[in-house]
Order: sequence, then structure tokens, then C-alpha cells
Amino acid sequence: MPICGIVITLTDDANDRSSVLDQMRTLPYLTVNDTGGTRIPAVIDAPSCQEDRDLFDRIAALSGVATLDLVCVHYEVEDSVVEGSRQP
Amino acid sequence: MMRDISRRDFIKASAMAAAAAAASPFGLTERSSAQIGSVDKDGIRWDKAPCRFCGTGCHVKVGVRGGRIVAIAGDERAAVNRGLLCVKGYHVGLIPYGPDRITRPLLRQGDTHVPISWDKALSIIAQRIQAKPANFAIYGSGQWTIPEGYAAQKFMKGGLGNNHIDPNARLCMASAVTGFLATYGVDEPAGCYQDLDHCDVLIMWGNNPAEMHPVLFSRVIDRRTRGEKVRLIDIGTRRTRTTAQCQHFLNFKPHTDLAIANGIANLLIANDTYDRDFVSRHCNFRADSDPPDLFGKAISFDAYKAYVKTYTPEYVERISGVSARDIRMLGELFGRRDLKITSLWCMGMNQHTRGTAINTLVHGIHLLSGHFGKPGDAPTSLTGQPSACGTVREVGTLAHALPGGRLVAKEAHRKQTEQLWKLPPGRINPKPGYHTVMMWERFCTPTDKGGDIDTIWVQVTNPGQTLPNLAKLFRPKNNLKDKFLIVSDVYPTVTTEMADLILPSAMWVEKNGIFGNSERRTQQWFRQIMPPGEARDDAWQVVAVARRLYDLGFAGMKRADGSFLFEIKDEQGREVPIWNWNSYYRVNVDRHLFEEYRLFTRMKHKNLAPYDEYVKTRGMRWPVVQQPDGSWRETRFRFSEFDDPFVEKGARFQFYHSTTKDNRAQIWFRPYEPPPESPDTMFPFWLCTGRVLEHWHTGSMTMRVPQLKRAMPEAYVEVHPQDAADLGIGNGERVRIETRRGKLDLRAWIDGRANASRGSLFIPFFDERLLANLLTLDAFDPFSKQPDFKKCAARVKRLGA
Repeated sequence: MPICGIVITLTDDANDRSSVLDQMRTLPYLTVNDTGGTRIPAVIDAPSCQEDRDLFDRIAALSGVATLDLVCVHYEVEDSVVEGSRQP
Repeated sequence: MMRDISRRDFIKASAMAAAAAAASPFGLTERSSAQIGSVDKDGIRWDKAPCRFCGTGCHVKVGVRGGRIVAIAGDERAAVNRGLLCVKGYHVGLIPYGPDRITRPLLRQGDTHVPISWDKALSIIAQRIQAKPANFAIYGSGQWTIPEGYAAQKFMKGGLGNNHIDPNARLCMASAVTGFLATYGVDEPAGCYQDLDHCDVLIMWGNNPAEMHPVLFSRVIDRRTRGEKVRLIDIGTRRTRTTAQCQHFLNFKPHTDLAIANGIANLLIANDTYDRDFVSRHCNFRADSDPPDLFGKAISFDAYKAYVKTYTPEYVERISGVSARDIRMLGELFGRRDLKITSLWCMGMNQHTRGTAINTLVHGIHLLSGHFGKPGDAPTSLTGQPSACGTVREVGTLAHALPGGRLVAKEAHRKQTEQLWKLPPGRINPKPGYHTVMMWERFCTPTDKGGDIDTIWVQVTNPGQTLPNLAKLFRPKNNLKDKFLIVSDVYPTVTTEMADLILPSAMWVEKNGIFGNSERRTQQWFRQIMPPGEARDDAWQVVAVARRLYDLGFAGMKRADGSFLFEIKDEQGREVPIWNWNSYYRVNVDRHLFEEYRLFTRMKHKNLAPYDEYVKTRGMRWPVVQQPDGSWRETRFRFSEFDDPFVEKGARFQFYHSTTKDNRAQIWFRPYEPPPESPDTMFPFWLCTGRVLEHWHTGSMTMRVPQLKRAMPEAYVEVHPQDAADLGIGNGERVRIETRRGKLDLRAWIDGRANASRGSLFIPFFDERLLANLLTLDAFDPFSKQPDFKKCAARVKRLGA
């Protein structure tokens, strides 16, 4: 399963920063490194592609989160099992 | 087991270190073990490449082990993305690995395709061309690399003497090109992404960068989170994720953006807040001539003032639906010298039957207000494909163009090109070829009824999904047995489905390449993995067909001295048979083609550096000029004395390709005019089409990445909640959308991530099973020939759950 490094940017009106971080810490597979700024480095290590993707959506939907950027990803072999393909 | 755990922990620690470095305001330092050109202690070899998807031009670091991509990282040395990637960039390393990659040439036999050899495929193409060279066309792409587009361009215009080559970029940014040409006399933005770091006000004109150019948008959002004051204004026809971050949403009626721009111009003059000094020194005024052409007629300032005077805030409100108060707010912002204002746009302004007009008007209000040419003060168009600028606009893979901003219709330009290509005089045809809509219309028309294109070779694009009004411009081919469709692609698509001959292509880092992004940045990469099966570079395919024609005695494939059109010699001066696949990578063909192409780039001050300079960098923005110490310097802000080496000393600003040949830019008046099709009693809704965050264009790559497919599995139609209530439509229920051209059944999405305005619908075009372009209009802008995918009249019928 992939491991990815991400940067979560908080909104400028995220008035309760610690509350946003607390919400993040309740999310599974997410490790947050609070460096004190509005850009929060974190790592996702989810057991499946689906949970990895779902987590992106859950983080992006948190109140106080402005954007979510990806920094790096290490794929594993099973990630490339691809759906939706067809033959001509 | 222990080894696996420690390796996983190591990767997690590296990922966190990389994220921490990227999150830091000092994040541009080199981090982690992913060093370009090195092998890390996990056995991964790292190299650089621009992302395969949009026109932003983010650089990624590609990690390869055992001949396979195993990791992707944002490149912290890349000024474009500073180590960050969007969700598509994150998945870019998976796109080569769909199990249904096309790996052999396939020829239609009845209702199926059967494998054939490359030798046979090349012969089939060469024989069709040899039989009717004037009836052959190439339909290319803003995803072509620069060398690929250049090879196809030279093959057609220099080899066949046939100008029927046009790209899919005609569908996405042709109106931006004509807007730049009509205003400055030369294409492409004057500013660059650094404008986003300096602007006080960012206006998005029908633009949704939060989903379409997310890395650029997060660059602005990041400024706000650091306490900087940036005012974001979304002038749009639907609420999007971009709107959610903006202080202002100006919801306008489709097509009425021209009235808004004229309203701003009127206020600048009425309030006497226009930049009198800038205008008097650097601008002329222009309006449409009769008959209209791209360059119009000169008008006086007083005539311009009288034209725009009609566009009072109240009048603009009546046309556009944007309140007079908000129009005044825009006028006041543009009237302030203490602010820096950047405008961004993409398909919203370009896919418009008045696309050239609205492009020129937005440039015009920046010029009139003097919000031009300083960091943060810029009118900037974005592109949707990775090399729409590099390959289409600069190489000139358009039916009327030659490389470097030259035109086939101009004798002097043809002569220059013939000399550089070492062709006999008169080889290049002076008559422009067919633009995209015309090319496909002729292909889909029976030969005996004027359909004079009988063979089209498609490379790196999917017209069976992206052309407008598919029932007219693509589907009829199926019943025309003398027409022949050749498609080079990596995966099966709705276009390959209808193809007579399918050629397997190499993709992205399976080949060498060069892209040119939205801010004039030229970016190079090397092949890092091998293509599967018999898949081969698109440029090789063109060269191989050219050689087959040469061997058949086709005169056009010979230069004036009888040598091969694509002759390349090695360091010992011996010709390398690059038409043989086994020899293609014996030399760097990209390097040879690029160095030849580079000679054209000096003609319109789009100078490029030598190929090897791009190998060392994460791209450079043209014009790139050599300095006395031998180094190469890029240009961030064109036409501005402080940065552009071609501006004369003391000029401050100089539009050195001015259409009026007086170093001035043109401020245009162009009136609001109604669209070709509007809602009526039969078809009471506006229909807009577009893209989504998860999928790139037709989804041929991203629908093969499971995470992306699951996140956005099928197309939908956005319906306003009140309209849905009026029609009894529930969220997720199936509805039928119908226009005068076709119908489509899909699910309604109400109050989703974006919201259609009242009386409007939105359908994304990524889903090949639900073709949005069965519905769209093929009417196009008279100057750019770009169709309008953003508005037509439609009706909705509830089908039920």
C-alpha cells in the first residue's frame, strides 16, 4: 500500500487551530507533525488504496482545512492493479 | 519481516521529512534521499520530469526500481510547484500500468482489430498518403512533446506540402492565442506564476483553479494563511471549490462577461481613474473592421470612450445579472494604483463564440488601468494541456502556422522555413489547411459531397470524446467506408474503437520529451522506463512513415539535395537510420529536432537556450538569452524594461511586436452580442461542460487509476436545488438531458461539490460511457475557430431512480 507525504494548509480564518489538529489526530492512518504553522506536514499510511483516497477526502472536508497538497508517494506493486480498462 | 517493517518505517520517515520541508516557508531546500540522477539506499533511481497532466508544468521526481516506477515526489527545486503536487500528480506514476495498454499495431478487420507488424502498418499509412497526399490530415495535440509536434509539422508542411495539421488545443486555447495576437502582436502571457506571489487582487474569469490548477491555487491560499491580504474574486457561472475560497462571487449569466469587462472600462474612464500616462505612451485603441478581421481598425480614445459609455453599471447588471454595486467594486479596484491585480482565465473565456473578443477586453482593462507589466499586475491565461504552449503555440502545429510564429500565408515566412528545412523553393503550400472543426467535418462528409479529407492520423488525443457535436463531427465516419482513421495511443478509447489502424505509443517517461507550460517555461526529461511491447515514440512513428515514403520515391520526403527530410548524423558524420526502431535511441533525436527548431524561436523573440541547458534545469522561461559570461538568462516579465532583454533602455514598456508597428499594445472595444444559442421554451436551461479534479480530460489515463476512478466513477449533471425541486428530481436520480443535437441519460447531483446556477446545468466530459459532447454546439469563434463548449440550450426530464 502507498505511503505518502502531504501538506495540509489551514484556512486563514481557522480560529481554533488546535481543534482542527485534534480532529486530524482522530483520523486513522494519518500521522501529523505539528510544526506550529498553518501548513501541517503529515504522512498517510493506509492499508488500502480506497482508504488512502477516502482519507484525502475526509481531511479536505474538515472545517478549517483550505487545501491538501501531495509531496511524495511510494507505490507498492498492488497499487497498479487497475480497474476500468477494456480492450479495443 | 523485520526488514520489511524497517523499510516501511524508513519510507514513512522520509515522507514526513519531505512533507515538513515542503510545509516550511524555507521549503525550497533539497531534502530526502531522492536526489536527481542518484540511486538511493532503497535502490530507487531518481530522475526529473514535468507532470504528464495539465498545463501548470509541475516538476516531479520519478523513482524507478527494476524498470518500474515505484515512487513519485514533488520536486522541491522546481519553482513552479516547490515540491508540491495535486491529487493527479500524485497518481501520475501509475498511469503507464493499465493492463490494457496497446502494445501492438492493430488493423481493423470487420468488427474487430487484429495484430499486424509495424512494417505492415507503416506500409499501409505510406500507401494511403502516396495515393492522395492532399487528402491526408494529422490531428495532434497539446500533449505532443515539442519534438513530436515539430516532427509532425515538418512532415506535413515541409514533406507533403499539405497544411492539414491541427491540434486538439484548437478546442482549448485558440482564443487565448488570437487574444494575445490582436492585443500585443505576439502570443503568450507577458507575466508568469510569480504574479500569484505578488498580486493583491486575484480575479478568476470563468476559471476554477482550485480543481484544474490546484498547485497554483494553493500557492495563493498559502499566502493568505501566512497572513498576507489577497482578495480573491470569482467571476463565474457556477459555484465551485474555487468560489468557496473567494471573498466575492460574481455570478454572471453565460456569455455576458463582455458586458462586465466593458463596464469596468467605462468606470475607469468615467471616474478618471484609468492610467493616463501608461495609455498615452504605450497603447492604441481599436474596434472591429467591416468585414471583421483579427487586427480591426484604429479608433480614437474619444470613440472608445463613447463606445464603452453605454456599459453603465446598471446596464451591465441588466445584461449580466451581476449587481451594479459589484461592477462598481471591480471598476474601483482596477482604478487603484496602490493595488496589484492579476486576472486568470482558461476554458471559460476561451471556449466561447466571442472568445477572441473577451480575451482582448480583459487585456484591455489591464492596459487601460496600467495593471500590467509589474510583478502581480498581469492578465494571464492558463492552459489545460502540458504542452499546449510549447508544442502548439510555439512550434505552430496549427493549420495556418509555421514554427516560431511564422505563417504559411506569408511568402517571406515560407521562404525562411524552406531555407531552414533545406527544402526546394515553393515546397510549402501557401494555403492554410483545415482547422479542427473543418477537418473533421470534411472527414465526416462523403467524398462525393465535398468531403475531401479521406485519412486522418490522430496522435496523443481522443477526438471521439472531445470534439463538439459528435454526431456531426465524429460519428458519421462509421458509415463512410472509404475514410480511414489512424490512431496512435496508449490505451483503447472511443476514438480507437472507430479506428481502422491503431498504433501503440510510448507515453511520458517511456520516451525522451520536452514540454512548454503556461508560463513560457520549456522543460526537458529523459526516458526512464521502457514502453511495453511494441509501443514506440510518436515522433519515431512520423519519421518511420516519412522514410517509408522516401523509399517509395515520394519527392516531398527529400530535401533540396536529395537527402532524407529527417536526416540525422552521428558525431562521425554518418547518417543514423533513425527510422529503424533499433537505431532510434542511438542518438538523442529529441536533441537534434530541438536544436533545429530552436533556430525558428529567435524570429519573434521567443528565444530558447540549447537543449543541454534544459537538461540541467527544471525549465526556463523564454525568451532565454545568453549573457556575456556564457550563462543563459530566462525572462519572467515580457515587454517590461526591468526584465525583458528586448526592451530598449528608457522605454519602460515596449510592445515590440505591435500590430501597429509603433511599440504599442491595442485596447479593443468589442460589444456584448447574444450567443448563437440561448435557452428558450423548448430548451429552457443553459448547459455548460467541463472538467473535474480527479480526472484529466477524457479520463483515458486517470480512469485507469483505481483511487481516482473510485473517487469519481461516472459523469453526472449538476442541477440547482430549486430547479430540481421544481422538476421533482431527487439527488442521484436519473435524468435525461437533451439538446438540439443529442440526448444523454445520467444521474443528477444536487448540492454536490459544485453548484449549478439557477436555470443552468453542468456535465463533466471525462466519462467515455456518458459522452457530454453528444450535446454540445459546434459553433465557433470567427477568429480563433475555437468551439463553445460552455453554453448551449438544453432541457431536463426526470427518469427516476
